[in-house]
Amino acid sequence: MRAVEPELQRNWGGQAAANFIGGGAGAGLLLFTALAAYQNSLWLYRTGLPALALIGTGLTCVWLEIGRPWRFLNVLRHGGSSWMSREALAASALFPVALVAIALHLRGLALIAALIGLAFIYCQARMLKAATGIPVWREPAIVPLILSTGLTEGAALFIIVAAAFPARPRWMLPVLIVALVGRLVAWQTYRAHLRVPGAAPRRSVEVLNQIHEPVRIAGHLLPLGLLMIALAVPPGARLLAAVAAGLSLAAGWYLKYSLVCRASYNQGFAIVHAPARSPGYGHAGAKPGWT
Amino acid sequence: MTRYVMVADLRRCVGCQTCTAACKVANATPPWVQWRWVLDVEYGEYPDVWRAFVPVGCQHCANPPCLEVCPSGTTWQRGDGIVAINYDRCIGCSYCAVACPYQARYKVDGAEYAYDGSPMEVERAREDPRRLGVSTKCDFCADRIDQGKSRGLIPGQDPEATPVCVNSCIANTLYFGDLKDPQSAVSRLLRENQSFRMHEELGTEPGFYYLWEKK
Repeated sequence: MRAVEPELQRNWGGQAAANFIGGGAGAGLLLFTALAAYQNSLWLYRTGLPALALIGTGLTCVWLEIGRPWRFLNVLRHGGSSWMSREALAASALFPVALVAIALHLRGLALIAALIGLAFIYCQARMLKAATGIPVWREPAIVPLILSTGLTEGAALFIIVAAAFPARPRWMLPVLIVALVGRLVAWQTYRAHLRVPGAAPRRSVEVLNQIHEPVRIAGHLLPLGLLMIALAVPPGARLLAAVAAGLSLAAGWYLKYSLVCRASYNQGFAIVHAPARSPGYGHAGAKPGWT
Repeated sequence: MTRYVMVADLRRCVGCQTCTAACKVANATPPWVQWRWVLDVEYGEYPDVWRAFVPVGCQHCANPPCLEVCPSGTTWQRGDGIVAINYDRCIGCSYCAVACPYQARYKVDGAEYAYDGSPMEVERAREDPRRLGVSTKCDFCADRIDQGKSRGLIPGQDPEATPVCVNSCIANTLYFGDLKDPQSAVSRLLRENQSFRMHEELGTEPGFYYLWEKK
């Protein structure tokens, strides 16, 4: 017997989540790589290549998940309306442009690659929003959430990688602070929209409630505090910043994994009116499993 | 201009799942795949608890979200409103499955059989490797409709040009036909009865109507 209430979708699993995780963090890292390259073009190697590796890993995971992997070029056929096609088109442009920029130390081209990377994250966000069958994905506030967490993860990754090198751009700490605040606002807004009665399946809201405090405290407030201390007390700042960045990164990945794999209950079924088996004896309908 | 739709009279359905079985036999779908099935919905509060049986499946929406998201242009809409899949082009990404609010899509990666891991006669006869690793769903028995029409039959009126779930229904719950034809059974039923469509608020414009009360 099939369930009437919303059920957890099983079509997109951990590999799809890996694409959102790797793609967002990688594209975010690429942006800060391109900006840092204006101070020192060595960053193109140090963080540019890991950024591409992350995006590539995410795409490879998805490629391994699809049912007919050798037809993958067909993914490019519906760019007129499919955000997945647009994501693939963005990725197709991103890799050659970024690789040439890195190989030839072309800062301007790296900036173009970073902009394509931003378009790539935007496509990922719109992919989720276009998934009408999953209420927590189609919520419009997911777009700023996915964008902001990609940028936050990129900034965090940059700080973590940069900790291994003697000099790093000083503006990265304030950038991560701003990104964290932006992501916290996006998360709170997204959650507030879904807590409105009738906005999401009950079990989806339960999952979002479960992850809220860990994400808010360990993923935002704690790293924000550590970053403030790091800015105020230069000795030990490198370690504190790396810890804060690690927490920010982990929270972003946990958030995306939870959205894709744990909170993604489908629409379920509903009847607007119950059948009137005797004329005039109809009943109100039912939408089981919703808040 | 033709717009094929299905009508389910909720006052008549007894939840026997004959339509489900007929669809499975006709399409030889794997054990857990049901292109047509009947929900058992309980509603109300104790002691006023009621029950309704609701046939569901692909709703052949006029504005199908599965079509919009499909990256390979695999899902397409025929001129008569039927939403179809080109199995030779699908990459099996399942994006359509998460876009569909009616849980109508399935992807099966390997051959699966109902008993003992080996195919029954009907499964062997209807086995189609093109349906592995790709998205599948109800197509309103488009082949039957097309073949029937080529012989001058009328879908929804002549059983040989009508989806098997409709033919098999023991309670006259399911009807099929052309919404644009005012003389069709579906048009008449929708004129004479009050109806709704599921999840209409999502803007999908489903081609599946549920009757619940006389006008």
